[in-house]
Amino acid sequence: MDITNLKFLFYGYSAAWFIITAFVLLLVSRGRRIDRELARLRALVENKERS
Amino acid sequence: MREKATYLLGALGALVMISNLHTIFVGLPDDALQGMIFRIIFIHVPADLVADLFFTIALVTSVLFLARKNFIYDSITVACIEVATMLILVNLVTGSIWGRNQWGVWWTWDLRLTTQLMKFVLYMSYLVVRPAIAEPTQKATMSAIIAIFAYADVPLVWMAIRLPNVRTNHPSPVLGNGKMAAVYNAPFGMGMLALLLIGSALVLLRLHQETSQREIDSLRRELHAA
Amino acid sequence: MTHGFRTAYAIARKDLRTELRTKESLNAAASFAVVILVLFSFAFPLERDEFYAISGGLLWLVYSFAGALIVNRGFARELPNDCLDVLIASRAPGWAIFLGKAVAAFLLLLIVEFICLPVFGLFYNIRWTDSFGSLVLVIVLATWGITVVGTAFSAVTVNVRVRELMLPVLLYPMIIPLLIGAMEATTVLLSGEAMAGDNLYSLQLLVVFDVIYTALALYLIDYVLVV
Repeated sequence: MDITNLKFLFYGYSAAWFIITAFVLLLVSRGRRIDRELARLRALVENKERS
Repeated sequence: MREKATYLLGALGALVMISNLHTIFVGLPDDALQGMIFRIIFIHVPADLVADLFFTIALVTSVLFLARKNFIYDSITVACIEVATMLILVNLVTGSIWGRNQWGVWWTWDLRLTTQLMKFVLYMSYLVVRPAIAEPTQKATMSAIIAIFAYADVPLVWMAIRLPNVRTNHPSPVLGNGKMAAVYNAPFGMGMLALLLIGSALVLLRLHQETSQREIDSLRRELHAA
Repeated sequence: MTHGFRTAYAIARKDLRTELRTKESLNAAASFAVVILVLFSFAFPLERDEFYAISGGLLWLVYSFAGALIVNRGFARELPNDCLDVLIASRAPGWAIFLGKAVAAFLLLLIVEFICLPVFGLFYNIRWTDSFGSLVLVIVLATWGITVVGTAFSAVTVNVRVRELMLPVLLYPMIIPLLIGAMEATTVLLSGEAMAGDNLYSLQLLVVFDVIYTALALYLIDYVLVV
C-alpha cells in the first residue's frame, strides 16, 4: 500500500513539474523568436532611415 | 530592470519550492488515512488558488482596458490568463492522479473537478479565439469582453453542478480543504508562496513578450507605410 | 429611451422579415436538428422507459446545435455591402441594435424548437403535452439565454477568421450552466414530475443566467460595436 502511494505521489509531482517546465520552455522559445524578429525589423528600419 | 525582476522572482520561487519539498517529504508525518499521496495537496490546491488569483487580476485588467484603452492592461490580461490556464491544467492532472490512487477512478464528475475543467475549457476558448482576430485594437477589445463573460460563468457553473439530480452517482471526494492538521499549514503556505512567485515570474516574462510583439507590429506598419 | 426601443423593434422586424422570406437559416437549422434527432436514435438504443431519463439532455443538445446555426447569422448578415458599418455609424444606440438582433434570433430559434418538439415526441415516443405551460416557460427562458450570449458573441466574432468555427468554440462552454439547468428542468417535466420544491432550483438557475448575461451583454455591446 505504501509503495503504491509513493509511486502515485511521484507521478503526481512529476506531471505537475512536467507541465510547468513545458510551459516555461514554450514561453522561452516564443520569446527568442520574438526577439529575433524585433532585431531584424529594427535593423531594417535603421537601414531605411540611413538611405 | 524588468528582466532582473523576472529572474529574481523565478529564482526565489524555485528556492522556496525546493525548501518546501524538503519539508513535505522529510519533515512531515504520514496522514493517517491516505498515506503518502496526501502530500500532493501542497501543489494541487495552491495551483488552483494562484490560478484563481490570476483570473481575478485578468478580470480587473480587462475592465480597466475597456475603460482606459491602455494596451498594457490587455497584455497583463493575456499573460495572467495563459499562466492561470496552465496552473488549472496542473490542478486537473494532479487531482486526477490523486483520485486514481484514492478512489480507483481517473476522473469523477464531482463539484470541484468539474468546475476546474469548466474553467480550463472556458479560458482555452479565450486563448483559441484571440489569435484569430487580426487587428490589434479589436483583438484587445474582444479579448477583454470574452474574459469578462468567462469570469461571470464560473459561479454559474458552480451553481449548476449543485443541482439535485446532476452527478449524484459518484461519491464526492473530499480533497482535504479546511480539515488539515495545524502542522500542515506552514508547508501549505510555503507552497502557495512558491507558486505565486513562479507564476508572477512567468506573467512578467509573458508581459515582456507582449510588449515586444506590439513593438514588432508598429515597426511593421512603419516599414509598410513608407 | 423610446427611440432605442423603436430602433430595436425596427431591426428585429427587418431581421425577421428577411429571414422569413428566404428561410435560409430556418430551413438549415430545422433540418439539421431533425437529422441530429435521427442520429441520436441510433446512438442510444434504449427502451422507452429508460429514455425519459435522458430526454431533457437530448432535446437541449439538439436545440443548442440549432441555436449556434441561427445566432451565427446574427451580425454576419450585415457584413455584405458594409451594412454593419452603416448601422454602427447611425444614430441607433448599440444596445438597441443588439436587442433587436437578439429578439429576432430568439423568435427564430423558438420557431425551430417548436417544430422539433413534435418530431422529438414522435421519434422517441415521449409525451410532452402534459405540463405544457411549464415546458414552454423552460424553453423560453433557456432559449433567451442561448440567443443573448450567442448574439453577443456573433458581434464579437463578426470580423474574426474562421467565424463559423470560433462562434461555437466560444458559445458552448459559456452556456453550459444554462444547458445543465434546462436539461434538468426538461427531464423533470417530461418524466411527469411537478415543477416544485427541489426542482425549482433549475428554474432559478435559468433566470439568474438570463439576468446576468442580458445585463452584461447590453452593457458591453457598445465596446464591441465600434467602427
